[in-house]
Amino acid sequence: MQKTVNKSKFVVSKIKKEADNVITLFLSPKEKNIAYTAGQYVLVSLNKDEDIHGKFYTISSEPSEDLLALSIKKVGSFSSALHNLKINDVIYISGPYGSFYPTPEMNDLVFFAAGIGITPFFSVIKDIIKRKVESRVRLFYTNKTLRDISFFKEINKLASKNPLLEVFYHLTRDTSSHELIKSYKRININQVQEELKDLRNKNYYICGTIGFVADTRKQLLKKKVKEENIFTESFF
Amino acid sequence: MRKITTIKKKKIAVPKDSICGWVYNDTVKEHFMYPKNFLTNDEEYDADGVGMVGSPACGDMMMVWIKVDKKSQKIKECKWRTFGCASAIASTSMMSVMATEKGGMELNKAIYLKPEQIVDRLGGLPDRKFHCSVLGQEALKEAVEDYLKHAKNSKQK
Repeated sequence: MQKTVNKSKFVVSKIKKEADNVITLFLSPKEKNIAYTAGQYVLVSLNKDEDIHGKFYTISSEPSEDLLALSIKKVGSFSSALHNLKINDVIYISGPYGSFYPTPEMNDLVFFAAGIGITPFFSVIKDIIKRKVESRVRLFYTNKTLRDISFFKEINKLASKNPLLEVFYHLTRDTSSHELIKSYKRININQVQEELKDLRNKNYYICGTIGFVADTRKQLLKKKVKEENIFTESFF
Repeated sequence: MRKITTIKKKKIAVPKDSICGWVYNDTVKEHFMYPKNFLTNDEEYDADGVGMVGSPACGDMMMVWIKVDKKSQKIKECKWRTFGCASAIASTSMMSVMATEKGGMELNKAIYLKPEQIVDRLGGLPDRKFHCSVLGQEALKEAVEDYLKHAKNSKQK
């Protein structure tokens, strides 16, 4: 029962601070690039030989971008090591994995992101816009404070240019007012229902902590949203 | 051929209020101690689809074998084997029950089966054990995709 993991060598070519404790590593392939679908994740390791030690990170770039981007929140020792990487440092990537992305026939999407759970959505939204997919997207994005919002400027820029994309920001531990913050409470399904008017005929994607994903799914199920219209990804 | 012995059900005494008591509920315990659809000898098992995943987070490996009813495109049998922990065993056991109950799960439902659904049916798992329920589900997805790939190839021939 051995499965070999094919690791590709990448070099850090740019580092960008996105929010408190969140950076994006922009990586260029040393040998061969990986082909991925927006919304997928990869296995990252710092050593070529160590077979099992590594962590999964969602790709925050979209497939047509030159550099592979991984946006990483500092939470433990592995992510701290990634935060300490410098330009030209080498890391190893394998994958991609996962199927947390919409299929072509879906044209009314509702995304729920908590904190760094935004990464697959950031990739998918950029991809949808880039490929000119006629799909309505409503993003409910919750963070603790204003300083925790990753991709704030980029998302707002995308939303201002694309009428099909609407963003609803939530802050749970910050009351400093900002014109773009819609709510200073957790995401509540009744409020979502008011915005969407009708919860039927939509596909719901949820990404965040285990608790956030479980709670949001349960709230949707209670409102009679069908299980097959709910897609989840939790980080752990 | 190796003989497969079945383990008889035995009550295991766990003292009430014991400080080293279980963090798992009765359903999880049941599926861990008496796993359903566990496959020991895969050499003689003629599967329609095979999936294998490993979780580098804890070194777990998981294999899932399925048999598919060609007409209804539903899962007839779902067998599995893991080197994983108690939660991986319990959640994959429950997953194999869910995949085969009520006449079998449709293939597209199996692909999109969520770990949360398995955890719900188990009556909950500790958060730090959530990733164990992802393992079986990922392997099942691979097994279905493996079956679909082969079905497509044999159609083209």
